[in-house]
Amino acid sequence: MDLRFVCGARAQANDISGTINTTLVLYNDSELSGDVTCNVPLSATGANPCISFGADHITLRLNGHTITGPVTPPTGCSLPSDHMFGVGIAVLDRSDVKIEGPGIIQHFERWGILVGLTGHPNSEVTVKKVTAHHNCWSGMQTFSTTESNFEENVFTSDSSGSNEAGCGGT
Amino acid sequence: MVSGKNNRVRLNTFYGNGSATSKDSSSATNSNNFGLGLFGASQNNLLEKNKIGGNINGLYLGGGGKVTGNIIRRNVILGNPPA
Repeated sequence: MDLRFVCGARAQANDISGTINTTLVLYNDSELSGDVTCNVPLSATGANPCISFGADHITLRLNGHTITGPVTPPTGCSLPSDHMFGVGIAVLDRSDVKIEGPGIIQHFERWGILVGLTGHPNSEVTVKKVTAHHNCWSGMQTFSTTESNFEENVFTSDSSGSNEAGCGGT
Repeated sequence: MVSGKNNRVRLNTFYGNGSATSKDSSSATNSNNFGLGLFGASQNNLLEKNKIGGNINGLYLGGGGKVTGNIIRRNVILGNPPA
């Protein structure tokens, strides 16, 4: 499979497919050109995303493809006490960014999509026409996020491995 | 959704989410999992025209009284089983 951007380098944009082994940080409009398999190791405290947004005013288009994490819930799911955890796509400290489907985000240790964390707020985030499926905790988790649009998404069969954390579709 | 404000959650589908065995404590009666949940100071959000079915809980409003000012309208919340 072709993987144009890996290893946490600055992605100048564009086509993403194949296996991601280190967090892919987006700085430009980008899109999937094929399915993606994520094998990002849990090496940093907090979220260890497969893909993260590194700039404002950009869009990630999934183009009908699937982003698959390393676990099959409930096996391998994150515990609330874990200091490092895997997520599919992270949007932290961003404004005016968009994740646009159709496309599937599945099989991550904690959240399929993470929008914000305490101390890392977002605004004007759009998540549209995305399916979050079989993620351990929530399909999508938002913290401290304002003025955002979450529309026409499907959240299904998430949270089967939340390990007592209060989780669900969103 | 935790401490979100002025967001729009519209036209989404939430189904088959949650585990009946996930509880806040060993003495808790019900699962803490859900289809769509608001927690913390989640305020002034619009939850509209969503379909929420087949989850452990359908719509979960937590937040210790800080979940206020939200508009929840025209949703279909059906067949979410008790824990």
